[in-house]
Amino acid sequence: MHHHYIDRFAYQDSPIHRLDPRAKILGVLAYSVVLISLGRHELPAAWYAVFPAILLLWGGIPLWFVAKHTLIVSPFVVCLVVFSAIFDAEPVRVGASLTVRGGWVTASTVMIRFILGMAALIALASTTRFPELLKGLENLGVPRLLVTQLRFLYRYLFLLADQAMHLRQARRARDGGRGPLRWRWRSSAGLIGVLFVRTLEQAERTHLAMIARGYDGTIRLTRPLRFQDADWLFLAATAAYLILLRGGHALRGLAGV
Amino acid sequence: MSDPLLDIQGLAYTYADGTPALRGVDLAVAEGEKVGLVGPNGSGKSTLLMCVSGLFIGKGTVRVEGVELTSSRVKAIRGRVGLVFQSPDDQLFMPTLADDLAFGPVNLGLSDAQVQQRVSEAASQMSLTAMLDRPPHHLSMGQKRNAAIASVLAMQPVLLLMDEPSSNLDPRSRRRLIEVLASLDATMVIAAHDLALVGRLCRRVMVIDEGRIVADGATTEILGNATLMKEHGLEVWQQGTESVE
Repeated sequence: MHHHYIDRFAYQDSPIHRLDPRAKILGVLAYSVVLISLGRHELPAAWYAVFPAILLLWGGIPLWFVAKHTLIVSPFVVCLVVFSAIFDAEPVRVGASLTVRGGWVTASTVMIRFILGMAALIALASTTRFPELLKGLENLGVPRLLVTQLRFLYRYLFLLADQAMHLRQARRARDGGRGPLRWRWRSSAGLIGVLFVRTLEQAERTHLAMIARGYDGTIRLTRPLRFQDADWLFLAATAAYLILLRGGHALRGLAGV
Repeated sequence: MSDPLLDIQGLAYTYADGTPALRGVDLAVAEGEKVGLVGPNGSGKSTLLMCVSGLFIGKGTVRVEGVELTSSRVKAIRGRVGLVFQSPDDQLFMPTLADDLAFGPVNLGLSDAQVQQRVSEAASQMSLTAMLDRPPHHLSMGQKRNAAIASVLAMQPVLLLMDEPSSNLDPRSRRRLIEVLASLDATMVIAAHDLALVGRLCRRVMVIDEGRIVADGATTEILGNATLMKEHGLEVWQQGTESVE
């Protein structure tokens, strides 16, 4: 059984894929900060879509993939959007003469920023191999313990997903997907328990395998990352673009538009 | 006669729950020998390998190249003894194959250049050079098995211990594994239920049952002894009886 959900497109080759992970992490981080810094009633202009669009299109990431993954995490934001629309009654001027309820503007800006932010993050995760992403994070000063946890999560998530699938299939083979709901809930609790115990056993066996190869509490990696001209260029272009975006907004704010 | 590479005297090991796994094992393996270790489930095969690699410390003495395995010397011994676990998923824990192969050599304190050389050599030995950048979950079971062996070969151990190396392999992958293991010029102890694999690779076989070595001798004699095999829950194996593709 194979699971390639997270890194499905990360093993392609494109100029975006070839960028140093640190450049992409810093670029996406700066873009996210600019998105977050917009006011409650500020709608992002169409230019805000340029950054994620370039990463996705140049990186060869299909838009359906972005849409699908954005939809998967959207329930978290939908609540925020709905409550904004209900509770924010402050009147807001849109354009030259139109005044609307502030909640609608807040809901729209939250939704648009969510979609843009997700597009940028998916572009980062889909054009960077996860091990390289972790190496980039570690180089940028993210605590080693956290990166190690993520490293193991990435390695064993797929194994655990396989085991969960096997357990579910074994259950379905015996109950045919039917049976009383109460009984099914009980068996689900049992499955979770079995998975938990297997996780612990797996951790123990992996730890032994690590010790057998000289592990002393620190994971040391070779193959250091190298910043190239293209990475500096990417960072400079991203910085200039974000300054222009934010500057444009500030100017419009001053002009009262 | 020169000293054996591995020398075990009176090795006993009891698990924390009080279950005795080894009850006084005596054995010696000479340099360059490939020895099979067969026995029923729960006979102590895996525990014996764990004790030899220093992961479990039992009673009695274990000597590798004449150096006795003690708590203080365990780190040095682990660099000399390589253990290939039954499940490659236990053994391959790094995000990419290259990182996994480098894990042992880096921990041995080798320089970056030496580590890269070890990684290339081990990958080449197990035909994995084209897969170095792949994460383990992108490999087939046969490739994972080869990768697990390569991760140990990269440490250049003097003694290679293998726990059920052919489990979960299809016939083609199993046959390739046998060819690769036969080509390795290393001292090996192979614990397996796969008697055909043991028969093809080892000239000497030991039978372990209830934590004791109950037979030790030439492969054809031991695996062909119907009374002995039946008594210890095993099957008879005779040369030339395995199927070929």
